[in-house]
Amino acid sequence: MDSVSNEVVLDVRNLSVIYSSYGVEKKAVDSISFKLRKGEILGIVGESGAGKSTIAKAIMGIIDPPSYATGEVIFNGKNIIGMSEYKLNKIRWNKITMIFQASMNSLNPVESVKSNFMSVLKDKLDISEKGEAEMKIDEVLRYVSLPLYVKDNFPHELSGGMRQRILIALAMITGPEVVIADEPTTALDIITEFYVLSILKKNLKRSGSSMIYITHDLPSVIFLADEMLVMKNGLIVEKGPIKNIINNPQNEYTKKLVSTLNEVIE
Amino acid sequence: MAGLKQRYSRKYIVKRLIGTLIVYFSAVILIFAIEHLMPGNIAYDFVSRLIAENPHISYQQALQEIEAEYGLNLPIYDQFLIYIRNVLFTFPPNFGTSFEYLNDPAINIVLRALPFTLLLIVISQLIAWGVSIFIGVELAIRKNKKTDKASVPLLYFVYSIPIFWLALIMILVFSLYLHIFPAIVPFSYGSSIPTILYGMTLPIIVVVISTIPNHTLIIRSATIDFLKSDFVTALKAEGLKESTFRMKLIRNALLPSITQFFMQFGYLIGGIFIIESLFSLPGMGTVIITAALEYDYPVIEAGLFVTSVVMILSNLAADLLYPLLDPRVSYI
Repeated sequence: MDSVSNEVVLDVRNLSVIYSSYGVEKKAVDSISFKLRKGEILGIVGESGAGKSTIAKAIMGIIDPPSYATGEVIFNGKNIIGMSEYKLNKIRWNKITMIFQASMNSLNPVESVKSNFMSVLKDKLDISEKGEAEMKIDEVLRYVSLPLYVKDNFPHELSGGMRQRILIALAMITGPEVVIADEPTTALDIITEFYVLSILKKNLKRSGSSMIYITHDLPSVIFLADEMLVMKNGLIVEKGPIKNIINNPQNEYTKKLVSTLNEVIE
Repeated sequence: MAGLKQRYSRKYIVKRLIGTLIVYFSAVILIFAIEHLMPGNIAYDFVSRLIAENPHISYQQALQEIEAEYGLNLPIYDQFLIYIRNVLFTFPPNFGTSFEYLNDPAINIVLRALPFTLLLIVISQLIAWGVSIFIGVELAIRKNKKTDKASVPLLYFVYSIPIFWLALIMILVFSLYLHIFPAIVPFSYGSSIPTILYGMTLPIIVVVISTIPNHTLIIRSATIDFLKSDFVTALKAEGLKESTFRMKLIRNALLPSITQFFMQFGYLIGGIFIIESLFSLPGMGTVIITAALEYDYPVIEAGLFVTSVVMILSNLAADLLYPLLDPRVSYI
């Protein structure tokens, strides 16, 4: 909590996301509000289908029409919901980045790891000179404790843990203000998970970025986050500092979640 | 870097080449079989033709001489062995001389025609695939929008136009009414390259138009699938420039294209005959059709042989080139 300031970087107000398919609309996220402060790690916990990943997509502005988001997400004084693609593209990855699930194939399968980095460097940081780009890539690869040769590999040649660290490096390379991590360790074994999370935490400290950490894995939230939101059926059922929620859960769902954790420990 | 050595093992290449040879032998044997399954007797046809031109020849004597010269009086297995020796163990394969042009080896007649057919197919397919990749990706991005909704039926419409009809209409419009292109290709083996290209323009346009719908629909549906992938969601979140995004889509759309390109190539070698004969283009199609009408068996055999070889090679190329485009595929 020491590095968390009171400055709010992301202010989510009454955010709703409506999935629409063949004229049938379904509210996946139901007017939720929360604030993300500078340097804070905010955990969002909930079961599958609770709307966690949808929040991430809404903030990135990548909800495919005809589905849509309403409400406000205030970033740097501007509402980014409904912002033009052109303006959003200046925020995407420059200011707000995302770490996708390890189990997902989020890297271009037909390009080397280096090429995956290059397009971001070129389009986002205007670095097209090869030497400079390589130095930058080497730097972030070191941050995530990866050997430098991986940049010449193709994504399918790497292990899940390595791919996940590459996604972290890719998300950190622009020095973002906000990182949204959507279940970044789902597909990893517990030792690799802990290792990847420590690397993630270290990098956030270094860059001073804030993070929204989305997961269904309560122990990892306790390890990483300062505050947490508990979601069920598109609603926030509980929010507050981690310790308060673990020690004194109020909502029925949260109680069940915490008691499961205790049972496992016992 | 995952180099070529990691993508292709020697074992795979050897296995693939042996497979190719087996297909090659089978093709050679099939050509012999087809020839002998055809109705009629090669010698009778040939002698009838000779007598039609020179009525004073004795039928029986001519028949015996011809059968002796071409080995037609031998038992079928002897004929087969001679055929195998001449085709598999002679270079260039010897199919005998043409019945029509008596001093010309059949294989030479076919090989002279091959470049025209290859030129027609390669140029038209490079253009058609280039255009299709562009249109296909754009339509996939605009799926269910007006452009896409209007284009897809149009593509199916063009797809269903018979190629010979399209060719006839093009000849009517561009040759007879507008006098832009010649109706009949004004060149033959040995003409200058500009003359050949000018004469080929109309046939190329016809093949391009009639193959674009198929290619575009393949690229469109491949790209639509691809747009649903996790990696594209990630690309969108990266907020890259539109051009970068398009290039990455096109790069991935190339994957299904390369296999289709070579498979279509083999198909077109066999299917382009009608265009060649409509434009009197001196390609393989014209040669084989003429030979078939004239019962010129050696040329038919040589034509089938060269067509098979081109098909086998294009399939081999499709197989071997794929790992270069898709790093996930390796032949170990």
